[in-house]
Amino acid sequence: MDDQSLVKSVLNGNTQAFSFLIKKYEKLVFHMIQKLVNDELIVEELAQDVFMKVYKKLPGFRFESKLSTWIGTIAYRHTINHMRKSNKMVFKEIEEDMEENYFKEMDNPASQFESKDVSKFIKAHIEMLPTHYRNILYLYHIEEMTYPEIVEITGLPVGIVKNYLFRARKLLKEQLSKFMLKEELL
Amino acid sequence: MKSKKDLEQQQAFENISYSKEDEELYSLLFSELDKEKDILIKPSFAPNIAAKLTKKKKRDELKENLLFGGSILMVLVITALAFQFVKTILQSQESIIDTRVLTPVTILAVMITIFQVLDKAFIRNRKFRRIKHKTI
Repeated sequence: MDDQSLVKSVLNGNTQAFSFLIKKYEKLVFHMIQKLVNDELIVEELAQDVFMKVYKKLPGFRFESKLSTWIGTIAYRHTINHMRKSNKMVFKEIEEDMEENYFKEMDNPASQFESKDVSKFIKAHIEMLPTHYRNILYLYHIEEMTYPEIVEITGLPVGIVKNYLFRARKLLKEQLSKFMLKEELL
Repeated sequence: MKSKKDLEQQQAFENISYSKEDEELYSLLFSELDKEKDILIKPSFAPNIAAKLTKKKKRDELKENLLFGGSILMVLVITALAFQFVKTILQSQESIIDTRVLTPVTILAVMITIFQVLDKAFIRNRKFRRIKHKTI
């Protein structure tokens, strides 16, 4: 079922269609929230709130953007508001001249990563990235969203979105380079 | 293709020319970034929200009906009280308002109330019929 018929069906009061809509977009919503909040229980609670909001706001949705972008925007803003209210809003920015030492300064086990698994190594380092970097990486690479779509969701200017994306990749690539070098030496 | 474009953009951002090793590292990084991380979502998540919504709808409907019933009751009580009040005045003093004027006014008030009740029931029935028709 395409998004337009799905929305029409939900608006006509079909609860089954709404269940289907949830199934279709739950991964996106959970991922979006998880990139911002770590607590699993809160993630599920927020995801529920997001879908309730989606249902409430659906009559106002005019298909000016993709349904996924619209739902993503609601998920992103709801989570940010929750974080603001609970004072957990810690958005780190990395100064360009501090980038080299970013991972070194972080006190966490991934810096002494022993695993030979590249995937695990990268995953661990993605988790250590600042929230916005992580979120933009996810939207661009996993959800395959375009820059305008990411701009719509995050509300950040396109220049900042690109900057965060490139800097995040650069940071990860440098870590990957060190990891590979270490692997070769072993 | 996308990966090539990404690499070009990344190179433009860093403003350096990449070595073969850099290119390989970025290719590896992009392929890792494109892998979706597993996520655990309870199978009951969607049905739970749907059930919650149905419950909320019923609660809202009940609230709306109670409010509507209350307002109708209030109109009737106020009309009766006003009628009683005017009647008392008419009986105790010299006739200021003719009783013949009061009767159509009361009938009109009752008719408006009845019309409101019928109208509300009609709208609701029509809405239900439409929803039922669509879901079937």
